[in-house]
Amino acid sequence: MPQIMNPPSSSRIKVRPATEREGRKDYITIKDYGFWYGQKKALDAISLDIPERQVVAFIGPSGCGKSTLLRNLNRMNDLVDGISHEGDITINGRSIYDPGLEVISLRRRVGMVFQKSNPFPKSVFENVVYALRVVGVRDRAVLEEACETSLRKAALWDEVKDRLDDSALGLSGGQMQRLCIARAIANRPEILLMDEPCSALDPIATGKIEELIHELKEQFTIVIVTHSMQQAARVSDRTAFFYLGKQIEYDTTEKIFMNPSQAQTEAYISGRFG
Amino acid sequence: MQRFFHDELRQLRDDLILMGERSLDMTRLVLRAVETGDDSLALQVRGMDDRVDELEKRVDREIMRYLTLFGPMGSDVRLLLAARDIGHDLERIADEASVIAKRAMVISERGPLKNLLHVPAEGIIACEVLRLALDSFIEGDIAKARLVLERDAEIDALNRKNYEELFGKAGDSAKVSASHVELIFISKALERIGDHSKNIAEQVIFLLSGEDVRHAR
Repeated sequence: MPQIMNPPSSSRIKVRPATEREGRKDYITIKDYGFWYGQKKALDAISLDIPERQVVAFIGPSGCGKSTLLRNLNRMNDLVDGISHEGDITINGRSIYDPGLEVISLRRRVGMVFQKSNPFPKSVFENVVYALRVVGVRDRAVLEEACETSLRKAALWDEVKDRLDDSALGLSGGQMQRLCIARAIANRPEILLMDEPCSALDPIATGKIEELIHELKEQFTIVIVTHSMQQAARVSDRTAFFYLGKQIEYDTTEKIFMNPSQAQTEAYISGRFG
Repeated sequence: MQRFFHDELRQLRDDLILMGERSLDMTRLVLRAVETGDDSLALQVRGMDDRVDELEKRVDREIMRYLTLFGPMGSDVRLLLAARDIGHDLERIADEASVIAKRAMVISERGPLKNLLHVPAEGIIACEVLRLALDSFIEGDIAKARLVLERDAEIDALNRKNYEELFGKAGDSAKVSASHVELIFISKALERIGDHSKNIAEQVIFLLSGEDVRHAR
């Protein structure tokens, strides 16, 4: 029976070059990336490339660093005191730590959906167009079009089109989460980060979000953190397995779940972990 | 709710149907080769076998992928389990057709064989039964699947009759020509095609009803 052993050094990690990945160019490149909360090293020597318009899942046990890495892709962790990093993350060739890059513009390009849906205590309409109002859009026609387009993309339009002025807090859990996705994509991001977007949803609502992820990857590069290996298997094209802050294996989802290269990955996906 | 990954089950079904049609084409073609002594038909059949082998491997990959990634339940699990067996039986049918082609070429080399015993009739029934098994899968028709189980006996009977007429009830082989021995092997291969068709029908019954009718007496 496979056992979790010491994670391999980063030099043993095999990452297939982009040319082997369905001809898609790498959009996000993470290179020799380490990250500290104060003295505690949360990520160690992470190197992986995320191709454009694909879904990449981060999996691993609690504390493995997957959410930390996700939140660093749009520098959400900058809000935490005492953090530091080494290595680099580039998006479309440009470092997210480039001093000339405004963090606000980075977050506009890299939208985020959280574990717990967090609609504002406003109407459905105002939730969707919130980011557009923040950047100064006032034209009602533009806002209405953005609202409808985003809700359609989030597969929510048909369910809420007759109650756009109602409070978003009256929606079901699954609808609220899709509203948050609509709000994220109204800002026209290039990348969507999803941090356990279905963990609070029932199977039907989870199914709808997963269908949505499958459709959204036509337009967006999506990185999803999930505790559900079944969900990672269903929705992602590539999967990265992390353990104790280290990247154990990163490959196509089919390879990771059918024939992983590392014993730790095999142990984790087959439930023999620990 | 139809999920995006359900399309992969449709692809799996399509690949099995393609395998089935190929195997049936091979069986029909090789029977013409036996009856006419036309080696070009036999060679054509042997050339078709590789494609069925490839399809079997593709079906197996599709099954493993679906089982691993999409957490199937209920009738989807039965479809995947049945598909694995059906794919294997179809590949074996194509192999039997290939074996018949080889033996038909041996017969043809020795000169035309006037008395083909009941092999042409056995071949017609084998093709009918295989068609019925494939249709039961394609149409989800359990009555057709049950009919396959009954009709397999017709093929068994003709195979036995071929053997008895050639060797006599006592099994005397002294006066039997080498070509007729090849013909008996062909009869046996057709009987095996009937058995594989029966296996397919049993899997269709399992797929449609959950009932396991294998090894029933």
